[in-house]
Amino acid sequence: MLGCKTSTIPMDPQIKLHSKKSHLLEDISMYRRLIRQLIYLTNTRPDICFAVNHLSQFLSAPTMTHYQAALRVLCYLKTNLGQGLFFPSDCPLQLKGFCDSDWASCPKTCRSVTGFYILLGDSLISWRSKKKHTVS
Amino acid sequence: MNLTGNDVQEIVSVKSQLDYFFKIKDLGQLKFFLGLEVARSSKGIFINQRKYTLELLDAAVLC
Repeated sequence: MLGCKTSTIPMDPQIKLHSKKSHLLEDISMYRRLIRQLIYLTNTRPDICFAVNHLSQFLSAPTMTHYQAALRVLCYLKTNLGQGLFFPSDCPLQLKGFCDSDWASCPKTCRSVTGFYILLGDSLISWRSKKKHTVS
Repeated sequence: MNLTGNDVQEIVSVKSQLDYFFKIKDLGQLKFFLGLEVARSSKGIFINQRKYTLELLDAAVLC
């Protein structure tokens, strides 16, 4: 994948991923391994948090479409490999939090995906993208 | 094992305690740990996973 084209966004907003029971990947462990590695990468890459969270919902029955979407994340990562987190030494100890929700975007379960991040001064200290447990 | 804190004296004493009981090897300031690369300067700390991402890209296969 080192020779792949680069992508400016981690996920195609036009593509809707669904869980299907047919046309499963022959090697499911390959998909799972890739998602596992991407999850570890979210430690310093909050920008792929949403995409990885979305893709990890299909671990039980991934199809080719899901795998291609995961490879798209890799193409995005290739554009800026060295991106990471910066914690400035001189920043005020002011806590700021931001959150958003997508108003029940999941067509099957009617549950929302919510995202938040918390800054201490200018340092990012906590972030997450998560599908809610309940319909709200 | 990583030791962090804002009290240098305390860190030094913890290190000497650990060395007394377990014989530790001090590798100095944190640079690379479990795929995380850490760079420090007077302006702050920068953490990235560049090498990990490269390995991930290298290992991934198209199908």
